[in-house]
Amino acid sequence: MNVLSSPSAHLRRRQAIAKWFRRICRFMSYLLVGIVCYLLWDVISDGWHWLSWDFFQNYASRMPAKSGVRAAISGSIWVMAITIIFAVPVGIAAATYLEELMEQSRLKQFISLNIQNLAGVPSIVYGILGLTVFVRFLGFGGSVLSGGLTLGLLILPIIIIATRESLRSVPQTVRQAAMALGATKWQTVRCYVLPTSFSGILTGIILAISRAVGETAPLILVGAVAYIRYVPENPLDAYTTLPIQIYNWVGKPKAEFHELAASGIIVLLSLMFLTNLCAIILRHKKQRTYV
Amino acid sequence: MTTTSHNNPSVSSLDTASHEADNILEVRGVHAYYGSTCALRSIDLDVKANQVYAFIGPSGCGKSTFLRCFNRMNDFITDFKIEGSIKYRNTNIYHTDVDPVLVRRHIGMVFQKPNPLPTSIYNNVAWGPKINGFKVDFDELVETSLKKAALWDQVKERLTDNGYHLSGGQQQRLCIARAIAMNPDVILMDEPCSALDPISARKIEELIVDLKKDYSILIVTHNMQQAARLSHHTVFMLKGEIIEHGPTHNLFATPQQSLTKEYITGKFG
Repeated sequence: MNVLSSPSAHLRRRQAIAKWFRRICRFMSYLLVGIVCYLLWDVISDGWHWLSWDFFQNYASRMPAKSGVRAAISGSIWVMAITIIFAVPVGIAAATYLEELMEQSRLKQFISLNIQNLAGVPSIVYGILGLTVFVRFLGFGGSVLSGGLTLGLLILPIIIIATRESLRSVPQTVRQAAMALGATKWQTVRCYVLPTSFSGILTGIILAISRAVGETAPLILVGAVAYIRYVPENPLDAYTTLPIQIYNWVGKPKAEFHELAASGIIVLLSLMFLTNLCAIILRHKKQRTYV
Repeated sequence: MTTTSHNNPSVSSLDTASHEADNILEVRGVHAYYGSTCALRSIDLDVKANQVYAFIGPSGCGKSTFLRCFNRMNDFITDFKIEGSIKYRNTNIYHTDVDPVLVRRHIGMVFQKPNPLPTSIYNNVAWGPKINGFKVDFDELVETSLKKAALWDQVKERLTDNGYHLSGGQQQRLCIARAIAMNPDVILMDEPCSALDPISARKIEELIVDLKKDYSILIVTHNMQQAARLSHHTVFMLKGEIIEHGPTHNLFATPQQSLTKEYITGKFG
């Protein structure tokens, strides 16, 4: 009898286990997609009919029909602008120093460990820090500036870690090639290491930003106001943001406000989707240019 | 055991190619360590200008470490320590007043694996001179450097292409063009052919034959035929020490040390 024609019971059992493993993994993946789809459907079916040009033009109001996200969107954009202006240069500079320039030492290990830890600190803690430092000590009050800087601190560790990962992925041979030509460390990093890791850094930044844009808790602490009937005009103005507006609407008794919250969520999700899309496009473009 | 047998400088006068050339590099009492591991042990060596020196020896014998001492590329390795002196034109390159950037500008290097910069072919060649403040016609410099590296005809139509789009052998020639664009005194080559196919390797070797007219070349190689074909002097290293060095034909024909003889006849290594 041919050895290949009759599989043993043992083999059949192994194959059965493999099949079940595959089924369970597939079920888990589809379950996840299913949950996300259900959430999206729930939000869109609730909030869809409130989405109109007026919804983007109106400020918050006591009457659902006159409510809108104008102040919230502009507040979110203001806060994000300050977050980016603060966190991106600081984050890239710190990561470059730690990864490219700093000598191996105990201090470096200590700093690296602490940055890892900071990335895991709950956002409310950053809110308390922002309240103490920016709102009270530096006297910025409940302003766009306080909110932006607080969120900047929140995403700084994420940007530093992503940038370091990305710098580390640049092959050592590139640095050696430049240094062997009589380049200084700065010339090497600026001309080759940073441009080569650009797409990775950018992806990290955009992921960090999409986390910051959805943060609510720290902003409540540093004094974002829910009811605002104007667009912030300078960094010391009061503000509200999309998640704060959503949070506020959800807490109201009228059912219409709950639907408005769903509309707000649609706007917030679209915003995040757009930033992520930008990240994907930019990364794709850069990858074609390098190597 | 004597660590060197051809220390006597008069030996080099046997070499027909040398005409009383001055020492461009002088190595005296060099010890090198990675952490507590000793990688080089009491190395002394004179390198004469416009000569080719081949460094042979089994893997891990310290020849690459030694080569990288000449342009201070080991500085980037944490834990690396060096003692002794390496004089380049009578200045110790490890003196505290010497900027390693300046050392690397005069002592070029070609690496084992071709490593173009992630930029265009043109910039690969022109970047080094540019950042070092050369005041020259860069188009001309790129052309002459690529011609010297026997690459010009293959790339002249596509100088804006990324260096990584070239084949492995072409990439290595681009790296050589990049090194010679700096107009260096000395070129260090760390097994420049070992990552290439035999045909590309032969082309690189022919190129080195051309280059040895104009530059002092220090080459690490695993290929003993290559060392014999290319070099005026051969240095045989083992476990961080120079066992024997001398004119290449002497070292291969009549090795003075039994270890050298065993290595070049393939008994170990």
